[in-house]
Amino acid sequence: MIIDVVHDTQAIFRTILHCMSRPGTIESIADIGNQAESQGLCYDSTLLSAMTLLDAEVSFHIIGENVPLIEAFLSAYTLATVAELQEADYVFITNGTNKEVIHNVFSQVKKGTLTNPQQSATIIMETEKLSNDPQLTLRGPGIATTANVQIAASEFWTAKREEANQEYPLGVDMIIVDPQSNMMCLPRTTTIHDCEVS
Amino acid sequence: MQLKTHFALFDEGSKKEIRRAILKAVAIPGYQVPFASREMPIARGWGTGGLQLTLSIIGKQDVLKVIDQGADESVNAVNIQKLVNKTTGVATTIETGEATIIQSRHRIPEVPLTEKQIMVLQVPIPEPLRWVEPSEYKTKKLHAENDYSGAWLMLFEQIMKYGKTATNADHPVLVHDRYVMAPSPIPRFDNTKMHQSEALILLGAGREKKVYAVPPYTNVTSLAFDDHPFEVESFDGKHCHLCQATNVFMDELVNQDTGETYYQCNDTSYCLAELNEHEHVLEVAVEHAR
Ligand SMILES: [Zn+2]
Repeated sequence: MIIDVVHDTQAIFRTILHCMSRPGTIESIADIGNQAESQGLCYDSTLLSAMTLLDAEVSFHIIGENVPLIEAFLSAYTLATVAELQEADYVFITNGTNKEVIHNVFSQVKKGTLTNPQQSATIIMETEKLSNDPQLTLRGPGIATTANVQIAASEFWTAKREEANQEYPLGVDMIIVDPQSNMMCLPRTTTIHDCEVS
Repeated sequence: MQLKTHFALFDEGSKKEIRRAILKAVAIPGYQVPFASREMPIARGWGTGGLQLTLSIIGKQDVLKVIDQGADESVNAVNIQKLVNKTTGVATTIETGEATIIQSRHRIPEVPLTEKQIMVLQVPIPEPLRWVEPSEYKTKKLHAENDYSGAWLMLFEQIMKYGKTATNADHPVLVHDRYVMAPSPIPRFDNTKMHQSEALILLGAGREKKVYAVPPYTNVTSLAFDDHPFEVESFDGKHCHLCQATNVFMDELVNQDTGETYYQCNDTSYCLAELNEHEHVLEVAVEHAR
């Protein structure tokens, strides 16, 4: 795998930071570390996000197919440890995961405590397609007025996410990636509504 | 023995840890996220908190500006700028508009910040409740319980004593209607620049090992009472004696000979840019007159 662990991860981190600061903004990381070999087990952008954020200090959990294989190579690349869903710092949901399983993730993951709301899970979710087509309207910090986005299969989880985030500052933050290496973030402060049909 | 120097000084593990904390800080506006502060080659209290953030986010494409109390030329600012430049090779600037990362102590520049910029503020004391509660365990609990009566009491006592809130700098703010935050010792004049800022604002405290953030387009309100509204430092009727600017934060100076008071932009690069602009206008005017 050809990835510059210093400069590529810095560039990916800045992309994640930009997107986390501006929910609804979609940025591509396709030009960074484009030789990443996820062996078809997950998106390249999923692997690159993991390499940017994970190390031996944190734990992760994989949801989807080929779990043991993905666990093995993510551990090898990042030295992060595998943990139970309820304990994991980072939870990866690979594309094609069914609704019930995703619901369970949002119910079970760490949401932090009132004293330490940062001790919550970050969900890295794969979706078929991200765009700024008007399907969902986002509001909250980082958004000047509203932002419109379309996230494929978002109907699987938006209600469950809202439930997980209802006791702010407790909640989960999300990084969403698509096969074209587009990225979008949803911090816990972002509220999601269906776009009003005009 | 061969020493390998790291890009931006830190090893990748240190950067990753701070980066993870920064993302949490953005997701929970105004909340102080703890991180493991690293040993730095400069003394603590000289901006190590801000420096650690800058070194963790900076990349080859960035352009850095460092200011200390409004000045790019102060020894402190120059040293930080040199250290970052030496370990990263990134370009530095004094032009606010050219910078992608602006690290600062005590000021937010006068030139409005943009979506392309990240403002990094150095914080000596990140805990706005520290004066009422010396215990970190207890202040964390007060934040958890959304109990800010201590901060309000402090302001109330100042009003009783001085007839107004006496905070010259570091006047506490409420962020996204939830966390009370120390904006770092910036003048009250700069508090208003945090509200619905276009740029991301990161605040770092080295000694207390905390990072917190104000995302762009986030509500930031300075604490005040209805009958004693928040007031910024006023420079009404005053202007900079160098560039003639009004409506900027100015230092009050006294002429030693005449005892006369006069004013000067605190943001020196802004003042310089204004001067150059005027000079240019003057040149054009002269040109036209010919
Ligand atoms: Zn001036």
